[in-house]
Amino acid sequence: MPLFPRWTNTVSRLSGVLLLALPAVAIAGLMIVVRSTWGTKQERDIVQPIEFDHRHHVGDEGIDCRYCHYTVEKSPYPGLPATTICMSCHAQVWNKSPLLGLVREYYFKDRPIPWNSVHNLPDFVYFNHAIHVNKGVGCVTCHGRVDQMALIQQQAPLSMGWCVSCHRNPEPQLRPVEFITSMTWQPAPGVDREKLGAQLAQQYNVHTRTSCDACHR
Amino acid sequence: MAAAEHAAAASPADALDSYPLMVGKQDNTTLTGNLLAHVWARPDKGWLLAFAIAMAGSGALVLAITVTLVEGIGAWGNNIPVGWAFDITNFVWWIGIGHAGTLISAILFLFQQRWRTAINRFSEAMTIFAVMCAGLFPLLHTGRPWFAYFMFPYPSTLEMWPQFKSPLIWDVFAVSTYFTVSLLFWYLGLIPDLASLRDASKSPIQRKVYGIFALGWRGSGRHWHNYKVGYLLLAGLSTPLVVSVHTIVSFDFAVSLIPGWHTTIFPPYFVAGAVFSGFAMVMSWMVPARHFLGLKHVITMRHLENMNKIILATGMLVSYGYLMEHWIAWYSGNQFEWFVFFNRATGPYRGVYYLMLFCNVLTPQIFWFKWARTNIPLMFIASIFVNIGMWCERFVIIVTSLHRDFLPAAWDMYYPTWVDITLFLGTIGFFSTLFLLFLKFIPAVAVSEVKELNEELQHRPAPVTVVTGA
Amino acid sequence: MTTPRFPLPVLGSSAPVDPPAVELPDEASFAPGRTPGSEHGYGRSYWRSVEEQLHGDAALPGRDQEFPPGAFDAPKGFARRDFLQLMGASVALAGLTACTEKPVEKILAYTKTPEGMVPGNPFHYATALVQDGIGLGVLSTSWEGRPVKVEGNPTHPVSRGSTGPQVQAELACLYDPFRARVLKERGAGRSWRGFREAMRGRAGALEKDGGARLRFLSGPSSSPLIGSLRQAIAQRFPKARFHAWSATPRDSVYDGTALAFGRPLEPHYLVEKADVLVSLDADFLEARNDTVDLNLGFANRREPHHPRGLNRLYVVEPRFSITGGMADHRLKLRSADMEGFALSLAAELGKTLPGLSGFRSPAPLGGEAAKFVAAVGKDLASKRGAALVIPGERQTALTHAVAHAINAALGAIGTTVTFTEPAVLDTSTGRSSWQALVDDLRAGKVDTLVITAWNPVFTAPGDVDLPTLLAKVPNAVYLGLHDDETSRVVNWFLPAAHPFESWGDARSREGTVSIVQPLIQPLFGGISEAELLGAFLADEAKPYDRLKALHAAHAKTDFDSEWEVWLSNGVVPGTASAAVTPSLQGDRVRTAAGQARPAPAGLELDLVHDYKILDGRYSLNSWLQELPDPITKVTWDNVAQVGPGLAKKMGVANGDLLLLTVSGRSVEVPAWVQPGHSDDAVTVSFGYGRRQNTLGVKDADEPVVVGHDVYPLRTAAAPWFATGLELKKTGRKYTICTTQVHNVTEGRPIALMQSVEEFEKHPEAPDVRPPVKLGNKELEGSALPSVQPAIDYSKQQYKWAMSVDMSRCTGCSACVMACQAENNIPVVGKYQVGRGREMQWIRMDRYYSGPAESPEMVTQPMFCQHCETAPCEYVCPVNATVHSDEGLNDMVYNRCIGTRYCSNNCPYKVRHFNYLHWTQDKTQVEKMLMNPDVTVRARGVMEKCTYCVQRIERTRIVARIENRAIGDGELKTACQQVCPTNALTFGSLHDPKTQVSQRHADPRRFDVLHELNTRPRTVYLTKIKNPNPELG
Repeated sequence: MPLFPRWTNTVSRLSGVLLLALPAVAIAGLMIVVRSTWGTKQERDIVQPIEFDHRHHVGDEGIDCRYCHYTVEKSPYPGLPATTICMSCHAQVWNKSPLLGLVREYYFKDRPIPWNSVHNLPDFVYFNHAIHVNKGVGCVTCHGRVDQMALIQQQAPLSMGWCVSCHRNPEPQLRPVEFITSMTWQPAPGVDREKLGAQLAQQYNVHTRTSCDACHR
Repeated sequence: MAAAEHAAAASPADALDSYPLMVGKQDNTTLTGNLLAHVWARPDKGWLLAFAIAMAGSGALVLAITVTLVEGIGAWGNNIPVGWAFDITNFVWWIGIGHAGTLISAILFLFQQRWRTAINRFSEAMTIFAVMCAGLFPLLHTGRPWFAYFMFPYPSTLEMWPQFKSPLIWDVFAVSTYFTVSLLFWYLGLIPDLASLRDASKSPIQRKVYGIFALGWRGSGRHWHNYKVGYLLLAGLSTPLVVSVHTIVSFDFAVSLIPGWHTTIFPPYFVAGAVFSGFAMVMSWMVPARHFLGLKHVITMRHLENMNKIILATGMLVSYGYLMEHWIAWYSGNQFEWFVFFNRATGPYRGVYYLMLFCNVLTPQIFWFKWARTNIPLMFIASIFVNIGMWCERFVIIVTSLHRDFLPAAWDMYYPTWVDITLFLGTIGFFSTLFLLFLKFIPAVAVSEVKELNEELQHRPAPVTVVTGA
Repeated sequence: MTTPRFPLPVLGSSAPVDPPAVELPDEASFAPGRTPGSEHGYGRSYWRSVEEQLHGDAALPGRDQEFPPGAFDAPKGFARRDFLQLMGASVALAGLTACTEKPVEKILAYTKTPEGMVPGNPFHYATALVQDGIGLGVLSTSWEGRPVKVEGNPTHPVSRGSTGPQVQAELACLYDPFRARVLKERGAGRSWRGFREAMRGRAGALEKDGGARLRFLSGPSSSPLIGSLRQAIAQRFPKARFHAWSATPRDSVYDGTALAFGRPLEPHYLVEKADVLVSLDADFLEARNDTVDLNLGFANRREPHHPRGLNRLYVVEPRFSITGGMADHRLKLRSADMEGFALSLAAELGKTLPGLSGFRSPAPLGGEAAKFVAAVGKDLASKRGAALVIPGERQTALTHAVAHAINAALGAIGTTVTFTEPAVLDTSTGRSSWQALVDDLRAGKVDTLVITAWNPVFTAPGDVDLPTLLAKVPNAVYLGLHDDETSRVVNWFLPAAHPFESWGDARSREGTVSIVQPLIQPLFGGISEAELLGAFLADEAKPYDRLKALHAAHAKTDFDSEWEVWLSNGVVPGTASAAVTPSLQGDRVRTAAGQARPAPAGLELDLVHDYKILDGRYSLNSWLQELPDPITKVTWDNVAQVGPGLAKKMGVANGDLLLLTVSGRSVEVPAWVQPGHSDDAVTVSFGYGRRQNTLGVKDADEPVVVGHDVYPLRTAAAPWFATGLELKKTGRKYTICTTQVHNVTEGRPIALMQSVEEFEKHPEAPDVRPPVKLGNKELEGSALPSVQPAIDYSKQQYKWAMSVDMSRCTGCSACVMACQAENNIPVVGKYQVGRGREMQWIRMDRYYSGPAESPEMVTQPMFCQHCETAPCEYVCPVNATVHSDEGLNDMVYNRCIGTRYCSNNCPYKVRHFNYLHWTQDKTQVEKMLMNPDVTVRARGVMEKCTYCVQRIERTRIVARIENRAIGDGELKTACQQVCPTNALTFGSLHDPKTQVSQRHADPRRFDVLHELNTRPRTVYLTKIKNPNPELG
């Protein structure tokens, strides 16, 4: 009588295969996950303490991004609107609306509104909004159509590879600065985006760097 | 007991050898019996005691590793300028020890040295365990081990790759390859013996367990054929590794520009040193093992003497390396280079330096004399010395070169902490644990090969050309 | 339901009504300054006053503004800094960051953005900081209301942009969580209001006898505001007395001028004009508030191509000082013999100069000294009108007077030395004023004593038992930053406001007034000296109003607009004191000199203020404690410096505990064998030996005693030196931790020094410079093979590089401090320093050459050389240190796994490794000190000098937005910015006109270890010496 039944042969062969297959699958899986929108935290609804709707303000009202994000052209930070900015309109408009109760609350208690951050770069990355905006990288290029978002989502993967890809070849992403905040700008029909980009790069003296110290300090 | 050895020597099986490869008349049954005996025997007090001590050592290792991970490398004595100390010293030392295995099993096999058969299993096991100990340190010595995976080339979302110019990357590949091949080689050799263990086991569980590991070996002609081919291939495959691994380890130093590291002689000199320490370690374990496991009839004075000859030869190579280092340092006229060697001999760490010279240069010299080569207690002590000496060598190379390099204002001293020492002793404990387990559950001698050898010895006296090498 | 109508400011309707209490979500706790005192990592929570404790928030209207919004939680600021720590903190977390969900990060905006504030861009405020009463104009970089960096104010006449180490380290004092927070009466918490009530009562009582029993003990001050307050108080209490006390009195300066010119004056030495300088133990190259400008003047004359050539400096001193290190010739002499030396120098000059006839030395000088005097005299006489003798503050009034006499005779007055009325209010901060107070205390004449001087109980001379005297004072008030020795013996203790937290003013040595403006609300509700003095006046005016009222006088046209300008510039124009030309009263000096007696023989004890913690006021400042002493390189300790000869005679080695005994009082201090130190004297710096909590020390969380207290050896009569010192070996050892254990170059061509003759003979000086000269020029496009790929830098706009002029560098270590502040460099504590794990990115290498008895010193700031072919780069397995397209050697912390291979392979050993998690347990208050532009490194990563890359990038982005290039001098590294001698330059090599390009082209330029073909971007200029052939 044999020590092991016949089927164990299959088992042993199988286990041999698995021995090689499992690690391979695991590694491949990890790589897929980190690239997936789940891994990059893209397209997630992040609930905010106050029901602020960009669709309304940007889309319907057509308020320029820079009205609220007022330091985007001169500071690394886009400038989160101070509560006074909200109140400057909502003192007259909707100044009774319960939707804005909490805003008024924070305003009079002189407490900052604790917004939830949507675009979280790692803390060792020093991204500077000012230089990008001044050199013709539009808001929509990285932030997507905020005029169509009920809750702001992260559109781009924000991975280093993604940053670097544009830094290696910025031209296609450039647009005239006068349209920097436009959500819908397209090059005039017949104008080749590549050509336009190259020309703008010339004009704005765009000079992307891929040295580490450009972002890590 | 030495008397018994010489008595055995009086009736040489092979006219050309002073000592036989096998003592007494043996046949397959006797060999199977007495070579597997220690596996079946209940663990005696001595083994248990040794095992307890070894386990304590492993415990200490776990403790030291925990402290290192929780507190950080700051728990060690390392500093600036001495960025590497005990950690890399231990790494190089263990890797070196691993070398005897592959050399004996691969190179001697290809040269058809028949005296290797009795000891190859033994030294291969040692290789694997030593490399396991060595492997700990490159990982532990990093400041943030949890990011060590940065060292592997994989397509990351950072679009970053490792720096292939760095010898540390070469190390990663060299050591892991070496470990894998050695493991396969060892296991392949084990299969027939596992099978005979399976067949000889009393209890069904034992039978099943050994059976699983024997991978259904039935000893058919086809099995033996495939086995032989595979063994030959692996031997060929691992032969270059014997040279490559320590060559690459030596690049960690040779490629840098630190005086005392930046030396072209390092690769050969490291390999020689590795074999040197490897054989010493085999010796330190074999002498007691053959005594307690009753293997004297297959591991004879012939084996011991041959190993001592190799220790002498490699010892001379190492000594030559020292000589060259110093001479070139002086001859180059490079004041930084020369200062390092001057500092080794006169600086604060000179004690380690002289200990190294004594152990590695003077000790092996006794093996010029046959009476020493065949004196078991003496060779045991000598082998211990060599192990110590080789550790000192790595310490001298690493620490004394770093602690006083180019700018005197940056000079500083290195003092080990208890964590450093515990880590080192801990790995020895861990190594011993594995080794004792190996001696308990797996035949310490490649039974099948010995049987084969036995056949050869009895029926076909070996052709003269072969043994001259021995 | 109806929601209550909110009256809104924009509608300008009636005053805002508080909205009904709505339960705010937890996030509200993010509100800035919600819990001022209670900080995780700092034990219990603190309340600032009884009101607060009793009534909580309600009692303090507007208390939310206590911290400027964002002070605690700058947008993103914190998380950035916490991030790496988190990574290091937990293997599990860090290993699995891919799969673990990090909590959503909060981002907080201002409710009302302060005017002109752009979050993410720092502000620069001009203010002033005071040292021994002398103010120095400084600029403070402020992030969202948090001052994080202090630099000199370029518009300030003395600073010109540079400062010493202490002034920069003031920040570490400001954010010291161990600062006192509670106003106490006999240990019980009281409120500021309560204190004022009590004082008003007292004042009424005291007024009756004109304040005859009212005394004030203050530190030296030059503040016009304080001056006016004192006058006001004097008017109300005519009999009240003001005393000043400082452990580092400048009395002899004023007594000396008084003796020489009839009235106390402030001398100003114009060292740049002098060809020959003689320092009588004057350490005028230590970068203090009153000497910063002297550094630059001196350094300018150490460059061979200065139109008037090199100057020559003779230094006579007992110890080895910074100035001594720069000397062309040093003479070791006991302080006691300094008068004798000055007189014999006068006598020597008297042979040729009529003005000095009649001076004679009480005792003839020894062989070496005599030779020295002869040579110096000759040299001085030959350079009349361009010669200068500078007497030291530690020396006697007579020495000063004689020095002035010599200067007068040499025609120095008006040319190389000018005089003004003293800017300080108190010309006597030591002996006389102190003695008067002590007598009154002994006689029990004092009812109310208001102490604003720093910790007099600790700094008091050993012959006065101040605690018992204070115990007799019924109403002693003490204002201090910390609960210290003094606060324990007085019955009223008031936590002081830091200069960065209060309004005030100060004058520089030459009189220029700077307004001290608050940069942040008092962190712990401190009180300023002006407020305290105000409590003794009838009117309740705030210091700010007093200040404006006081300075309205300086306005030429419209005060308010000018006031704004003064604040932003940091100086009030036209307030510098007018120069006076005093006439020397030679006979008085002669008669005084006639009474000079030969100094008693024997061993001398020299007490000096510490190069780092001064009189001890910075003893709790971990930045300064860890700063290596410029000369000894000792950290966290003071040592008894003994000369090599004496050490050999006594068989003393470094670290042997010595028993120092002077006139019965003795203390134990560890020995330090100091090359070049006099064998007839022992030098110890005071200010150490306090039991204290010190921050940043991983292995000393408990209060520990740092160093050894030598104040007991002091007497009010002889504060600086005393003969008759007995030295005894205790036989015990003491661990001293230094950053440099080897002090000679072993003949390696590293820190090069040459005499001006050698240099002029063959400027290329092949004999001193390494055999082959490989400048970057020759090597462009890699002439020599290298493993590193050659980068074509011509493609880039900039090519950053640095240069260090060793002829200018004095080793004052201001740069080390600047770097520490700018780059968030952690403090590791004494024992980690002892293990060789100090983190300062700048290692101020100091080498001696020549015999140990009279060595020459050369200092060489050593930091990352940014090699074009960097050895560190090719050994890093993970590309964590790589080369930038502009030639920087980038260190990417987040990529580093910490193999330390780069450091091993760095021939300069300028990389520093985070062996432990130095930044782990920082309190909220400490975190406010961090520069948000620089990553805070976690455990297990390598770090090093980055050429202040964060400054490069900011400046670059500003310039690029304006479509222009960065101009020369527009961008300064932190170290360069503060360097008092302008020894460091930084800029782009592409433009040949930049200062750095010129220095790279300088014949004195050499590359350290260039033979390794590292091609450093940081190059050094040889140190040039100007020895006198006669003393050669």
